[in-house]
Amino acid sequence: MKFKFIHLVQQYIQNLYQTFNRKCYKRFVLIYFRKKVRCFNRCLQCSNQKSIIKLSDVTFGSYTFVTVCGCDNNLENKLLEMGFIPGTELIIINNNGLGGSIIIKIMGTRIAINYNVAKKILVK
Amino acid sequence: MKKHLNHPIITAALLGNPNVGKSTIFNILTGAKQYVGNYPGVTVDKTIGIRCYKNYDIHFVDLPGIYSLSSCSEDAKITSRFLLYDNVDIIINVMDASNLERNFYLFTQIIELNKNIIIILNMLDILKSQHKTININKMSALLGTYVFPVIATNRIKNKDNINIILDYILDIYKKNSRDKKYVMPVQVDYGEDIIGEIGKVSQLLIQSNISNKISKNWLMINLLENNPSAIKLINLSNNKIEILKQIERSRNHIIEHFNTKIEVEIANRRYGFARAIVKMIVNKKKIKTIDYNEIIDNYVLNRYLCIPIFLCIMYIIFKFTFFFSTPVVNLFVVFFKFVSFKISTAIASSILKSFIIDGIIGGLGGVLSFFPILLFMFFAIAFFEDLGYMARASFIMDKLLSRFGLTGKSFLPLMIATNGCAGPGIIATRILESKRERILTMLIVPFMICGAKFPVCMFVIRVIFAHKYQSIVMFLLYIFSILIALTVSKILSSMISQEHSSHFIMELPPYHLPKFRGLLLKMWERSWIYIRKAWTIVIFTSIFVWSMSTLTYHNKNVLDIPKKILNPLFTPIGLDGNKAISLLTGIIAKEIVISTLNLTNCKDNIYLHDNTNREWDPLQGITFLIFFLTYIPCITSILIFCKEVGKKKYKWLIGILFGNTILAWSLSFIVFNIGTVLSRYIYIGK
Repeated sequence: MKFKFIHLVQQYIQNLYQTFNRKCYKRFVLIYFRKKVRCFNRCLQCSNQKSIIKLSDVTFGSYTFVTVCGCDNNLENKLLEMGFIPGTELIIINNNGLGGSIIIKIMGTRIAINYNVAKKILVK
Repeated sequence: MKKHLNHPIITAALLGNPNVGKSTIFNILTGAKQYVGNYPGVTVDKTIGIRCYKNYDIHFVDLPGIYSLSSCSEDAKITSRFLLYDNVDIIINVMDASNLERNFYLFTQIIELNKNIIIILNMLDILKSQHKTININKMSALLGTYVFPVIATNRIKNKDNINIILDYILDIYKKNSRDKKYVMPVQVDYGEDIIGEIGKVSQLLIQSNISNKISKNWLMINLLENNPSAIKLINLSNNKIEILKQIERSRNHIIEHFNTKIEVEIANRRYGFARAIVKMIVNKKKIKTIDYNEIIDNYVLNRYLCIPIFLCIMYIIFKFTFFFSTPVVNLFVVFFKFVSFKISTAIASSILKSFIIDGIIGGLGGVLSFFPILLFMFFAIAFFEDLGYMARASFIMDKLLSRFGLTGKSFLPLMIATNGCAGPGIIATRILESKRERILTMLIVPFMICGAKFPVCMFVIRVIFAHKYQSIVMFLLYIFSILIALTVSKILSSMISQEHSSHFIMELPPYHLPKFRGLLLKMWERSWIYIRKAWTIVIFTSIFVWSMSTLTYHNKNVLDIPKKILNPLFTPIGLDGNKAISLLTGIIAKEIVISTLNLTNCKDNIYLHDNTNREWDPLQGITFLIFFLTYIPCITSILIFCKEVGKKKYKWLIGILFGNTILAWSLSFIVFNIGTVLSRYIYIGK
């Protein structure tokens, strides 16, 4: 019995540690190495091979909209009417990171976007 | 409003993107005083204003702002339904000159409705500050419609412009346009493939029996786009199966051909059209300008600073209201005292004296003396609203609210309820897309401290707390009401099943320096409701309660009977019969609480709210406030709620009636009991 209990506790701690680790990683990158992330993004801009990333992972710079994935018809229509058409240029003005909203500039106006929506938008 | 039976009626619909100034132009055209604001949710229903001009009745219809005709939120549906099914003679498309591309996107959809279109180009002053110019003659020639440049906020220049616009509307109505070239509007080129598919569908549509009222052009394109309202129309026709099959086939064809969905391809074409026209008409001087909006936004929406700034602004609003309004309120109180003193010396008969002093002045004076506070508060809120902070605030609150099952957009209805009335707040939930969020927001809107609850809170706070703490306590009460609303929504959101994840996309308007006249207008409009209420409902109920309190039945006061019934319910939370009755009358309208308290508590003849000290001990006051803030909302908001919920309204009605009372009772019970234990050790109050 005792052994089993200890085993369970150990597993639980390990689980906690893993999730903590995963969250922490993101936080570390965004908070303490924010500058590095910026540099990384700049590098992406400079290089000819532009890779496709989620809008939520981007912190700085101008990108082109590629497509949306995994959203319902309503949201897709809404994005279309706001001007999210493949090939449109969008500039990230403010990305709070950490699950907050994101401000971008598209078609000459600034738009605030939920983190949940930003996860579904792919840019390059 | 004047209405002439003989005059022919012209219907003109004002249409445009959100926040382009439709309501401002509507007000100029009709002379009405429709509420204007620079965030979505201000206009959520169609309003009609009538203007008589040269023996014609022109009905102007102000519609909620939309980005496209196929939007899914409730206010956008109202707009598209009106345009499709009602007899609209002329569509007035209002455009924001500083952001033309998106405005043209809507324009391309309006063309397909086959109706007469006029364009009003607004916000030319902003365009000038961006060092751009628009060639208006070229624009009207390209689009095939007449374009009126206008600066809606500039009142002096507009008088001549209005007459030109009205003349033109009459001309169009009489079918003799001044220049022949303005009659035919342009068409968007959708490319060979899509036009081919449209042709196939149109052949089927000609055979069907759909009424001619609806434009075939619009119907065909929207059928291909899978627009639900278009498909609903098709379901009525005789050959619907063939048409639906053909649509399925053509959609598949386009996906094979372009490798994208047809919606994307059509939107692409439309935006291409918009971009081309913008390129042709807009001349840009290359001068680098500093964008102040971005600099301010960097601080206001900063990750660490946003919430402190938000709280600061809230606190500034309160400090402003209290600092300026307390002397005015004191003046009002003295005035009412003086009047009642004069009357008491002048009139001999005791019943009449009591009727005038207790029934009318006691009831009405109590409510009206708090009126200046509302004026100052609405002024302060209107200032930040016109500045453009409301949309930002909803952006800041988004992350917080998403933890409670809401989105940032539901902050706007809450805010509308805070600086006005709960009724408009409930109606404003139409801007929310998902049904679940709408119901959640509608349920928590009545918890906010609206303009009617505010005076009551002030009434109690003025009695209990010293002057220097009053604004802080009021501020804390606001935060308490928000916390209650959020916890309720958290509990309810776990009960209501989640349909799909909510989304929040909102345009941030540029900052404007508010104009003093506009602020005064807004302030007056919002607070005018309360004076009107005071003259009608409040005076009526206070006379009713007064007559009840003077009547006797078997040597007992009539009011004693409900007091006896309510006493066992309210003694555990420390409130006596008088307060219970005042809370009961508060269901009719919240301000009535003050008048009833004044009436039932009065023992001296000259009696107004600042010498109520001995009636209230601080703990009782706090429990009273907590009960007051959370119990049943007023009748008007309940009625509006029932109307807006639609299906299953009785279930929600019962929920709101019982749930709120149980919540209020249990909360105040806890607070009262903890308070009585604590009060042995500490003493709060004056």
